Amino acid sequence: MRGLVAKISLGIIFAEIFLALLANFIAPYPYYRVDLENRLRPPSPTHILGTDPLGRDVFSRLVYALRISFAVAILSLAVALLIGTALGMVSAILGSVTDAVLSWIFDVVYAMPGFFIAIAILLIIGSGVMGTAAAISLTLTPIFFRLSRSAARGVLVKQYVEVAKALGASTLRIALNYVGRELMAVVIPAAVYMLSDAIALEATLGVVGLGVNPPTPSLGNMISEYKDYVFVAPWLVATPIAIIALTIASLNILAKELDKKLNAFLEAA
Amino acid sequence: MNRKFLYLVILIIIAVLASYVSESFLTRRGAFITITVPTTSTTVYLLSNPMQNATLRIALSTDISTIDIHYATGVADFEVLGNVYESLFRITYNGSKLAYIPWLVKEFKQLNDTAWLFVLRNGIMFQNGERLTAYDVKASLERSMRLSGIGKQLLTDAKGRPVISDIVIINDTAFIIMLREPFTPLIEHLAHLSTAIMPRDIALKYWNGPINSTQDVIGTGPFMLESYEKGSRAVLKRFDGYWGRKPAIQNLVYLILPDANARISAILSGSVDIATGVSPDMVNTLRAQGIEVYRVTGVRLVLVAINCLRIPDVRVRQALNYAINRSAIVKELMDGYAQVAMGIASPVFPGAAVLEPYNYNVSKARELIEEAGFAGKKLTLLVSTRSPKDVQLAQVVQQYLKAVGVDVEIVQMEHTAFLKRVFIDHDFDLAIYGPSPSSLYYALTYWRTNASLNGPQYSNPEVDMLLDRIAREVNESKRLELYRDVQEVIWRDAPAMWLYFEDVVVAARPSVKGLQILPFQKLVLDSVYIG
Amino acid sequence: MWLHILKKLFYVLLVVLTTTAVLYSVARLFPGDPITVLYGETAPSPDIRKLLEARLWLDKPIYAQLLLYWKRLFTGDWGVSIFSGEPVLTLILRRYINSLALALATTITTTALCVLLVYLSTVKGYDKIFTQLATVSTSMPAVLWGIVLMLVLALLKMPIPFGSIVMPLATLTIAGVGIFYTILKNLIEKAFSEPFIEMYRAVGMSRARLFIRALHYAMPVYVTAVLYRLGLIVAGAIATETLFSYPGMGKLLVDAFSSRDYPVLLGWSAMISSTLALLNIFGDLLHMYIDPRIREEK
Repeated sequence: MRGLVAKISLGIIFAEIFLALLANFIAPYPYYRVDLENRLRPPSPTHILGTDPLGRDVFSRLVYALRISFAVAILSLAVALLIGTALGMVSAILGSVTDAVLSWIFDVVYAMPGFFIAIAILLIIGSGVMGTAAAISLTLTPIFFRLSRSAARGVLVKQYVEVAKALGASTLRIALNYVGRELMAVVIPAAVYMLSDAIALEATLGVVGLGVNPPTPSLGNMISEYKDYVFVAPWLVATPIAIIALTIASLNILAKELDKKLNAFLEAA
Repeated sequence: MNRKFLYLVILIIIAVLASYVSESFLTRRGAFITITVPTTSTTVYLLSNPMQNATLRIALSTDISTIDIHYATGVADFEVLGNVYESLFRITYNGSKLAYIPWLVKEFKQLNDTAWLFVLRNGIMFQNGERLTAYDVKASLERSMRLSGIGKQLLTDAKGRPVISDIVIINDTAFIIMLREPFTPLIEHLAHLSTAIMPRDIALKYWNGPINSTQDVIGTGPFMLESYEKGSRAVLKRFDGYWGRKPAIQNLVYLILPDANARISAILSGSVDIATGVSPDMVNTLRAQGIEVYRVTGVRLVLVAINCLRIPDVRVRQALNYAINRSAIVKELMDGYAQVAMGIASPVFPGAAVLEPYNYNVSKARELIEEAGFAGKKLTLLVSTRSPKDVQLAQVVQQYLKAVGVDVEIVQMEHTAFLKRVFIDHDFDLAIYGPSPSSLYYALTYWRTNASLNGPQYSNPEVDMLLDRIAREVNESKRLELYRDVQEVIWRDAPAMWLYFEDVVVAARPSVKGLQILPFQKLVLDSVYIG
Repeated sequence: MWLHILKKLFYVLLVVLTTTAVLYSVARLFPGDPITVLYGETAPSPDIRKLLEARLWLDKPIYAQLLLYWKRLFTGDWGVSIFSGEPVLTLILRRYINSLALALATTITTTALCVLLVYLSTVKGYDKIFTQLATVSTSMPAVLWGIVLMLVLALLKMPIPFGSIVMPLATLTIAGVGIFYTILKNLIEKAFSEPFIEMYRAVGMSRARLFIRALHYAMPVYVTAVLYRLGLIVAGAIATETLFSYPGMGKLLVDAFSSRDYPVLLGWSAMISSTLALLNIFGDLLHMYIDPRIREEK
C-alpha cells in the first residue's frame, strides 16, 4: 500500500512537470488572451476548466502557472542549496572569525520575517520571476547553511579526519572527501523536503500579491485573483488550490520515501 | 531544574492563556440575536429598544489613513470622518446632479467681486461642548489651506497662490472671506470635507502637523469618534448635542475588511449591515440572497495616465484612446456598472460637458501610431495593488494596446510606492488610477501645469488661462461656455486614456432603511434606521 | 556557565541591532514615506513638507536616524505611532500579547489534538488514516488553509468572526497538525522501543498507561521542537493574521509598513528579533539539558 501511494505521488509530479515543460504545446489558448465576452464560464468542451474573470482559459493558465511555479521553486532551491551548503561547509572548516561572521549574517536573515525579505528583494530586483525566486532563495538559504554547518562540524571532529590531517591531507581534500560525502546524505533529503516548501512559499507570495507580475499566471496569484469570485464561480479557485495541495503532498511523500531509501542505503554502506 | 518545574511553567501558561482566550470569546457578542427565518436570509432583531439604540455596522474596503480631516485623502477617510466633521456647505445629490447647499452657514451673500459675507447658524455645538463661532471657522480654513493637500488644491489659483487673502471676523457668527481675485467655485469648494470646521484650539494645537489623538477628533457632525483601531475598525457614537436632525442610529461601527469575500460573506451572514466596495460581479448573487444593492453614478474617472513628457506626441495619446473598446469594458468587465467616459468630468457635475467620443477604432489608432513613428515601442503600465479591479483593467488595456502595435509591460506596485512613483517622481509611461473630485472646477484643476494631482505632467497654458478666467467669470452662461472649452481642450490633448466613470455600488441588508449614497462613495446616514 | 550565557546574550544584542538596522534601511529605502501616505495624490507645500520632515526625522540621513532610534530603544522611549499617536511600546505590547496568545493557543490545541491522534494511532492502531490526514494537513501553507476555511464559511453563509482569535487559531491548527503529529508519533514510537517500556509491559501495565509514560519521556524533545514553531508563529503568521484581521504582530507589520510608520517598524523589529534570538538560546539550553539523556540512551 505504501508503495502504491508513493507511485501515485511520483506519477502526479511527473505529470505536472510534463505539463509544465510542454505548456506551450499543450495549452489550447494563450494564457494572456483576454476575452471579455466569455468571462467566468463554467467548464465546457471549449474550455475544459472554464474561463477566468477576464475570459482567459483556465486550463492554459494552469499549465503555464505550473511551469512558473516549478521554475521558480527549483531555481530558488538550487541557488539556496548551493550557496547555503557551500557557505556552511566553509564556515565549519575555516572556523573562528569566518564562522562567527557567517553565522551572524545568517542568523539575521533567519530572524527576518519572510514579508520583509520579499519587500527587500522587491526593492532591489523588482517584482517578477527573478525577484520572486530571489526572495524564496534568501528565505531558504539559512536553513541549508545551518544544516550543512552542523553536519560538517559533526564530521570534522571525527577521528578519521584527525588522522587524515595528521597524514598531511590538504583542507580541500578533507572538505571534498569526508565532509562532502556526509553533507550529501544530509542535504539532499532536506532539499527534497524544501522543494515543497519552495512551492508553498511561491504560492504564499502570490496570494499576498508579492509574486510575479500580471498577466503571468502562478498558482499563488491565480488563487489570489479567483478567490474573490467564489460566489459566482467556485470552480475557479478550487483548481489551483487542489493542484497546490496535490503537488506539495506528493513532494512530501516522495521526500519521505527518498529519505527512507537513502537511510537504508547509508546504513548498508 | 527538573521536569516538574517545566510542567508547572507550562501549566501556568495554559491557565493564563485560557483566561485570555475565554475573555476574547465572550467580548464583542453584543446585544443581538440572529434568527433564521425559512427563507435563506437572516434577519437581525434587537434585544433592546429598537431604533434609538441601533448599531449600524459598515464594511469598508480600505483602511483610514488618518484621523485628521484636513489630511483625509482616501474614500475611507471621508466616509468615517465625514460623520464627525462638517463643512460650511454640503454636497447633495438629487439623483442626477450634485448640488451645494448651505449647511453650517445660515445665509451668505456676495458683497462684491472679491468679498463674500457668511452668517453661521445659531446654536451649533462642537462635540466637546463648545459653541461654533466664526473664530473656529477662520482657524479651520486657514489650517486647511496651510496643511491640507486637497484644501490647498481647492483654494489656490492657476498660479498656485491662495485664493483667500483674508478672513475677517465681524462677530461670533459672521465673517467675511476676502479673495484676491474673484473665485467663482468658492461655494462648491467650501462644501468639501477637506475644509471642514474644527475647534480653534485644536486647529492651533496641531498647526504644524496631523492630529494624532482620538481625543482631539472633534467636529460638529452627528457622530463622535469613540475609538479607532488602525487596520480593523472605527467606532462612532451618536452626538446627542447635534444641531441638525439626530440620527436614529446610536452606534456606528466601521469594519475594515480589505478582502472582497470577507465583505460579501459579512453582509450575507449579517455580521455587517452595509458593505461598500461591492464588485459588479457580485450584484446578482447578493440580490438573489435578498440583499439590496444600491447603485449611483460615480465621480471616479478611471483613466490611464499618459506621461506627457515621455510621450509628447498628441497623436500617440489620441491613438491610445482610440485603441480601447470602452463599451465592451463597461458592459463586460464592469457588468454595466459604469458609464463610458464621454468627457473629463462625471455627468453628475453641473456643467460637465459631453464631448466627441473616442470611438473604438483600431485602424485609426494604428494609423496615428504609424504616423507618429511610435509602432513597436514598449511601455510600462503601473498599477497599484490596492484595487484588484484596476489590476484586471491593466491586463485588458495591455491586450488592446498590443492590437495596435504597442507592447505594454504591467508593473504592479504597493500603493504608497505607486503614489510616489506617479505623483512625486513622475517616473512612469502609463499608470492606472482614478481621481474622485468633488466639483467640476476641482476635476479640472488636476490638469493645471504643475498641479500636485497632475501625474502625467500635462501642461497647456491655454488650459491654465481658461481655468483662471472661469474662476473670475461672474456671468454664469459665459462661465459654462468656458467650462466647455477647457474640457474640450483637455479631452483632445489626451493626457490620459479616458475610460469610464465607475458606479458606486453599495450593498445593504433589507433591514436598513433610508440609506442614500453620494457619487463619491459616501454614505448619507442622516435618515437611516433599522426597520 | 554564566560566561557562556553572557556571551550568548551579547550575541542576541548584536543580532537585534543588525536586524533592526536592516529592516529600517529597507523600509526607508522603499519608495514612499509617511508624508506621501498622509497626502496621497496631493502634495504639501515645500515649507510644510520641511516641517513634517523635521518632526519625523526624515531630514536626517538613514544612519543618523537609526542611531537616534537605537538610543531611544534603550532608554525605553520608543516614540509614538505617526498616525494614531499611540505610544509604540504599548501598541507593540498589546499586539505582541495577541500574537503570543495565538501562538500558545495554537500549540495547545495542536498538541492536544496530536496527543489524541497519536494515542489512537499507536494504542488503538488507527495509523493509516491519521498518517494520511497528516499529509493533507501539510499539503498547504497556513495562508491557503485560511483561505479555504474562509471560503467554506462564506459559501455556507456562516458569519466569519473577523478580529477574533478563532479563525487564525483554527487555520494554524489545521496547518500545523500534520507536522506535530509526525514529530510526536516518531517520538512515541522511539519511546516504545526503550527498555523501560518493555519492563512495564512485562509487569502487565495497560497500553494506555504505557502511552502516558511514553508521553512523559517524549515531552522534552517535543517541547523543543514546539518552541521553535512557537517563535515562528509569533513573528510569522503574517498572512493568516492579515486575512482574518487579527490584531497581532503580523498584521501590525503589514499595516505599519504600508503606512511607513517608522517608529512602529523599529519597535516591531526590535521586539521580534529579540524574541526569536532568545527563543534560539532557550532552545539551545533546553537541548543541552536533554542531550545527556539522549547520549545515555545511545
